Amino acid sequence: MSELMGKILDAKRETRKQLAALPFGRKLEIVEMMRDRSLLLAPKLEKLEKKKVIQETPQTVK
Amino acid sequence: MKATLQVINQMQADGVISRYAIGGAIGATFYLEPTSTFDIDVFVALGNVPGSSLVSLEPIYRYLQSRGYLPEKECILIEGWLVQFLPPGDALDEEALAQAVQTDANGVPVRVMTAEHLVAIALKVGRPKDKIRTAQFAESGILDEKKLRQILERHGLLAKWNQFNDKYLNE
Repeated sequence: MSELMGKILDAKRETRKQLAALPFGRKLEIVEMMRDRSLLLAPKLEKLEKKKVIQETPQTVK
Repeated sequence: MKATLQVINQMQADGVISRYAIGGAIGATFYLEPTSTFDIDVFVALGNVPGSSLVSLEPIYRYLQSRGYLPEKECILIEGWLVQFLPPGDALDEEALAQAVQTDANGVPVRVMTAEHLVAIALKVGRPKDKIRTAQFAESGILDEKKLRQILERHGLLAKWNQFNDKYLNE
């Protein structure tokens, strides 16, 4: 593993440790925010996927 | 989520459930960094259907529906959160429910499974997300190794744990 990669992994580990140390109530608020964001993005991603299929159709027809 | 937990506590106060323990991703979040999830897994102790060895979630559904909380697939939507009520499926679940720890989330009392029981259950279930959770717990350094080993031994999961260790943790 390169030195840079080692540093990146250490930083990630440290961030996870800091998040884990938050009070449970605060962590549940973060979980709620992540869920809300996922639900907000899901329909948009679905639309993008559909668009992708339509754009790709002519190529597969060839 | 605070309001959801308050409803679950009220269910216990009203005698609909005798005791409960939060497991799954929300339970893991008590010990680890927050994890994205769409539902709350609540293990509940239920009485048998009279004259039968079967347990029924019907009283829970009836109680919640009378308060306007409606089922959605295998969950019930309570104050904006999907809650899945799970009767213990085996001795490990029973033990995890009995030994859950009392804690607090923004002033709301809540019972959460121990980290060691969450790991044992994740190991038993074994989906990809359970494997990730098990590895996160192992890496966090918060597990009581002796306690975990005893639980795994009691419930026949030690071989599975050793395999997991060899495959994912001993690099």
